[in-house]
Amino acid sequence: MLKIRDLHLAYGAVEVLRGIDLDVERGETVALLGPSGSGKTTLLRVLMGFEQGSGIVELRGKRLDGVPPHRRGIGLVFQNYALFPHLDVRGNVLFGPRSLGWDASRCEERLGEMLELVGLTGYERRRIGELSGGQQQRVALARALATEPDLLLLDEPLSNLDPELRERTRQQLADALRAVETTCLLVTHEQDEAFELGDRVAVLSAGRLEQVDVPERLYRTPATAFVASFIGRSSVLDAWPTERRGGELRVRPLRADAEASWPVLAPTERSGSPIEVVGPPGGEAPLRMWVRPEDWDVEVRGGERRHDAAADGSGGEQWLSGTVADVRFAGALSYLEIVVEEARIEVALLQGRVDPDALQRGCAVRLRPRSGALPVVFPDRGPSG
Amino acid sequence: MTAGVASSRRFGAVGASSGAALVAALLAWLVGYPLLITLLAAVQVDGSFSLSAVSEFGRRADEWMALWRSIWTSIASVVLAAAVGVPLAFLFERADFPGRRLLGALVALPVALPPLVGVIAFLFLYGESGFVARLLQAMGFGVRWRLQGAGAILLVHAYSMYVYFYLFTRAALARIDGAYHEAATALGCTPIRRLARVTLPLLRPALAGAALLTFMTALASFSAPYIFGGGFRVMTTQIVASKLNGDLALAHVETIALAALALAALVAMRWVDTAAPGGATGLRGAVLRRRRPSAAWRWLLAVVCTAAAGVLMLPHLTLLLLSFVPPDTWTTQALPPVLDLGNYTILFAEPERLRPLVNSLWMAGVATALAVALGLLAARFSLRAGGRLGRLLEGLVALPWAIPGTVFAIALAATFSVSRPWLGRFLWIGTPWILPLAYLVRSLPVTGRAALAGLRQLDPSLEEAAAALGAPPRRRLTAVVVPLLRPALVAGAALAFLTAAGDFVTSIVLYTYSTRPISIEVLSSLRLQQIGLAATYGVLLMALSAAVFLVWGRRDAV
Ligand SMILES: Nc1ncnc2c1ncn2[C@@H]1O[C@H](COP(=O)(O)OP(=O)(O)OP(=O)(O)O)[C@@H](O)[C@H]1O
Ligand SMILES: [Mg+2]
Repeated sequence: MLKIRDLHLAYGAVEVLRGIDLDVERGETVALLGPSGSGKTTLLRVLMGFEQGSGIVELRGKRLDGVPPHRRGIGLVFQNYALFPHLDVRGNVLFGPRSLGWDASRCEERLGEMLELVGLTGYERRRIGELSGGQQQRVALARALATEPDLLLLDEPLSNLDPELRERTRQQLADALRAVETTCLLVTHEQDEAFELGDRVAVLSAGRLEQVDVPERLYRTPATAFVASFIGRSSVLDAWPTERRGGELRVRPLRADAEASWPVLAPTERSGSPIEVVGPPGGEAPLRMWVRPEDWDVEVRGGERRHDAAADGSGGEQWLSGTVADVRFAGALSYLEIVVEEARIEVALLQGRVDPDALQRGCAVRLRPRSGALPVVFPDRGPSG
Repeated sequence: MTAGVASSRRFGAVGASSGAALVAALLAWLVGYPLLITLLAAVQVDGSFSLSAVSEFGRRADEWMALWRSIWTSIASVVLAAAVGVPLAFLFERADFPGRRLLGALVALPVALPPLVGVIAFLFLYGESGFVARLLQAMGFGVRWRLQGAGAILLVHAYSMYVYFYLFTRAALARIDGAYHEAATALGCTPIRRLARVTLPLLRPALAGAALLTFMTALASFSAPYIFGGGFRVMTTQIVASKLNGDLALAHVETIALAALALAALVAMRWVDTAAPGGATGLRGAVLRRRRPSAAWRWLLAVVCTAAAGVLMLPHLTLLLLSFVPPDTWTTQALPPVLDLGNYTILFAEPERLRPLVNSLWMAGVATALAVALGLLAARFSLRAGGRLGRLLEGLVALPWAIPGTVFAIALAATFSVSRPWLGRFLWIGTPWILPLAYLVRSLPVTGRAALAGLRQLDPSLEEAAAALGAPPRRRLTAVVVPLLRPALVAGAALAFLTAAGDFVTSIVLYTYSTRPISIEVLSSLRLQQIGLAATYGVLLMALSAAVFLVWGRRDAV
């Protein structure tokens, strides 16, 4: 449905979009997720025709170059809604159909459908100023959908709402989008929103798409260090590669001469040069390793088991020793902060997995990645990965 | 992978520069070209280059005298207007007394009155056979005076221009943060020191703005010097005299001299204003609490202010009274013996009397409609094109504000008195179209500025939203931009209409008998000693002003 290839855009000397490739299938919702200033709004504006970039943009197989905004057949929900303050709800919703010259009976019918879709039947005559924030958001959605656009763009549609209302409106938005089966590109900087509303999520950073994938894979197998850091929470540890066995890479955590060596998921594409396995000595860590809080095994160390870990049968000391620095109770989970040497590691434990009396602040523990959960590693290239 | 970096062109900027260039060309023809033609005419005799008119201008003492008088009367007008307006503003803004709101609004009324109306009202009140003179005579005082010369001009200027200082100062005082005062008081400032060290510096931008406006208005003033000047010629009256004497070349040199003077004054004022450290623009905060003096003081203040407002309203009340005095009934009595609606009946019953009214209304209407359309176009393209072209457009729209009306009248007369269509010159002098054209040029700054201010406040995403909904450019303009701009446009149009309907300064140069506007008819009624009729026309213009004030008030309420 929508195809974007090598899209670039600069404001003067500042490159805002730096080669975007993206496909959105018919009926699919792609959530565009990225930090503030990464170029999300700019990408929508280019698709809309408000800014001119270079590269290829195709909608239903037709190039959009030179097509003015009002002939693109793309709907847009603005972050601030941009509802017309001089028109009532009806005037706003019918603005599009009237612009396209629909006849009166078709307009009326569409108005009814749209207001029913967003649950605002009976609000036709309300002025925009007389609506709550959530109602305005729904009018904006109804207005954008009224012309049956081929593609609907939504720029942070929920960010103007307060948190409690956001939750509820998000559900309604998800239902409405599902009901109309429109192809959508939805901008957000909230992961929850992206995961709930997007069939796939595209992660944008500094004008580049880092990864486009279903939420589960973004979380489990991030393609870049940025995605690994940006999606979900992780503890990031220095790592030294020790051996490569088939597809499996093993790394030593924290220190080049650490006894433990853990299997990790090696980066595949994008990361450039293959990871070289180097010997124990060496100053800076060549790799960094991302471990999710729920991916740790933690045991309280009894006095007699301090140096004896052979019992787990993995053949060697795979555990790191640390001290509990903090325990936070958070309902279904408890979060532990464990200090291992210089590193601080966050661990999430399901309630009931560990005896709460045993895990206290100052308590000595040992930990390692849960078997089956492969941490990801990326070469250490500074904060941007 | 080659990074084909595209520099972004914003929405609306596409095609804006060609549109902007087109509008700029139109404005340049309307606003700049006539000035250029005048400049060329000033250095030409019979079509070839000659400085004879310029050197004559340089030789003649009366030209330099007129130039000097224009300058010093304008400066004196600023001083006098400030002396009246600033204290009034402090009084009405800072003190609390009964009737403050109503009186405060009444005191601002003269701002919307056509200058000629104020001038004749003054004449009827304080003139040698005016109301005051008659009253004094009836009371047995044998004083006689002539309301003429510099003193009379300055009196009228101070009277009609104090409003600028009054309004600007009041607005600024209302904005100044009360905390400044409290801080200053806490630091042990005496009230006088506080005024000098805190309040006046914060008021500086407002005072500078009012001074500039007053100076430019006084420099361009024509009605007062024309009616009261007698032998005391300033540049505006000098130009019209030269023109009436048929000395066109000299009139053109004088016109250029006045235009140069106005522009120089504008630049000088801007320079003075920016050279000093900035003041309190944009300050916002707790409104200073009004002082609530003791009951006795409050009533005294109320009486004093009522008296002041009364004195300021007196000329217009006189005009109203005179409009009810039938012709030839008031001879030597102190008070008019007969009052009826005769003048109004005459005015509406006799087609030749009604004609100027109709003329003024249609010409002002056409000019206003065009000025609104052109001002909107210019403002829109100025914002869209941005950059140098945008600033040029803005400058062209604002130019007629800085240039005295007399200058434009002469320039239009020079430009449109020959038919050379390929040079953009048409024979429009003597046709009904020249006055609407002149009014249009003079109204552009008002409507253009209103449109510009409105567009700047308009959220650009609204137009983008319309585009996203499939609305082509014209529908975006008519269904979104214009409705949202309506309050600003209406306010601009009302002011433009009022100025055009009451115009005297350009009309006297450009009118023909069949298209004579109200102001010209007022003048001829005066000449024929038909005082009542002249007053009646004046009252009608006042009524128009009142209507405009209502529109403004409504806009503020929104
Ligand atoms: N008109 C403009 N001129 C110059 N730079 C701009 C312009 N608009 C945006 N930018 C810059 O482009 C970058 C991307 O902006 P954009 O609005 O697309 O970010 P965003 O991802 O939508 O951020 P947010 O989440 O804060 O809305 C920012 O660095 C911004 O400063
Ligand atoms: Mg944004």
